[in-house]
Amino acid sequence: MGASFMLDAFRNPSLLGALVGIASGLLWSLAYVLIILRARKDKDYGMPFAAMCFNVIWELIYTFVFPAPGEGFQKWIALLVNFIWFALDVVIVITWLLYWRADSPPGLKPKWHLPSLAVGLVSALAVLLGIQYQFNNPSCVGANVPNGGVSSFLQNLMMSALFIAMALRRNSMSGQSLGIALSKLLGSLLASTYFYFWVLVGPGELTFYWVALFVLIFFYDSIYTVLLLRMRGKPLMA
Amino acid sequence: MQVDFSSVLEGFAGHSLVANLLGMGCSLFVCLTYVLVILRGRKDKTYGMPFAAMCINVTWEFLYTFVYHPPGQWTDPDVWMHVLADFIWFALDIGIVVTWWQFASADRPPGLSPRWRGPALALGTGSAMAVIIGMAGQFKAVETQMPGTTSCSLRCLVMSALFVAMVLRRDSAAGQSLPIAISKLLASAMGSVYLLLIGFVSWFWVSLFVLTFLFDSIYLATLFGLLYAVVPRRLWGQATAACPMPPPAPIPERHPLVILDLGTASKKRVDLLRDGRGELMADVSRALAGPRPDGGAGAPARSVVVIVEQRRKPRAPRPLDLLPFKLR
Repeated sequence: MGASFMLDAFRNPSLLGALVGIASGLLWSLAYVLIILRARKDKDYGMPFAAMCFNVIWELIYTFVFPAPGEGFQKWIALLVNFIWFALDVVIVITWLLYWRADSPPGLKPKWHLPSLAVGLVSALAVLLGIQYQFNNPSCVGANVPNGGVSSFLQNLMMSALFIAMALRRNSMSGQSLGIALSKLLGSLLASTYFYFWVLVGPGELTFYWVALFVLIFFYDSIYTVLLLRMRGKPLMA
Repeated sequence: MQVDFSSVLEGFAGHSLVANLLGMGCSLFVCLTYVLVILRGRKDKTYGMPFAAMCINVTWEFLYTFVYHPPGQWTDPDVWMHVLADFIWFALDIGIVVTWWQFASADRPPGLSPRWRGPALALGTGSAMAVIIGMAGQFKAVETQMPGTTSCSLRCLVMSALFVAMVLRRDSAAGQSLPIAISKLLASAMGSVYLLLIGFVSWFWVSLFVLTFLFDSIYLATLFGLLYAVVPRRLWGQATAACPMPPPAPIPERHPLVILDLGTASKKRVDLLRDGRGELMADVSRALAGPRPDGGAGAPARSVVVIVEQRRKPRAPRPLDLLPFKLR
């Protein structure tokens, strides 16, 4: 998440906007690193399955298929940074492959976990490409909205809801931590701020769609943080 | 409202007959799905529509009954029939919400205390409403033929995926049935072909339609496996003990193990077990009444492990078995 927003920030004349974009990207990568570390510690994966599929595919598409436009040094930095984020996502998938047994739906036989990953990834690829082609153009959103802008906030809302569902279902902080929740909350909040002030600037571009997503994501992330706060000290699942 | 029949026919002339029939078929199968979900939920004392899908559905149908309508005059059957279908769905969805409200505690996440049931419903429908209204405004350029198709197709995919997640998580057919799965698959498939025929043909729509069909098929296959394939016929025999899922202690390997969902097992199968085995049924009742061995909250697991002693005698070798190769 946030890769191309951050890169767009480099092109933006506003230094503050660039800083907000970069901070959002850094907080999201911090969340990824914390998820990986926590998963190794708790022997349980920390990103819900569907969120993971969409995330890794989003990064794949916007690193390799629709890379951020640019010239020379800027482009190389962009590619490198995007690649690092994609790599972090791949590591998250690896933690899932290592620890999926810790939290697997009872009806899913072990032999089906790899096919389910394949189904998840392919579905995410189809949906994200579809949204990119169908909606990420001036007929639906402002010309400033970078590639992946439309899907990223929808996906972010879905992720926030899935994190809440995961915490409620596990009823413990297994694979999760306050650090993850806070860096996710701040990363999303800054991404929304960046979009609000520096992307959706044209007349009529700041529509209800965007505001609803910004508010709901923040709200859901806050609920998740509060949930984890209340779950502190509960024993992890065996 | 009095409707002139010839005007109805004229109205249909805009689209091909096949498209209209598919659209009506889709509406009817959606109604059938909802009715079956409600009935099954009341019978099994649990809800059969995943929570998030329910919130999105009831909100979508509310908005597209009372707020957004297809372009055109009210006398145009393309308009009033859609609104009528949406209204019937909405009414049935209210029934589904009531079922959920009654039986929410049968399958609630362990971390959610029952007093948060109302706020959770308010949050779910509220956020669904915000997102659907947002999509209606933002994406109207690509859904001129039929307002709301973007959110409707996305919700169908989300719903199908959530049904798969629900059956895998419950690991039982509680609140679900094959007729629900089949009519849901038919409704989505007919709706998809209808939308294709009226012009929703880009990569986005086609991939959503294909994926929805894929997830519906996975759901149907999973449910079928749960209901019919879990108990191999040859294992029906003397059941000697039962315990809830997951079993509290390892079960000796010499016992064939049958995982049986008593809530959804056929009458014949339950009768087979009940026949002269009162002790077993007492075990099963205890298993169903007691707390889950994993300490999880919520309804007691409906699946039970029934330990069956095989009664088959070893088969006497027949002449063909003595051949040096297998005939079968």
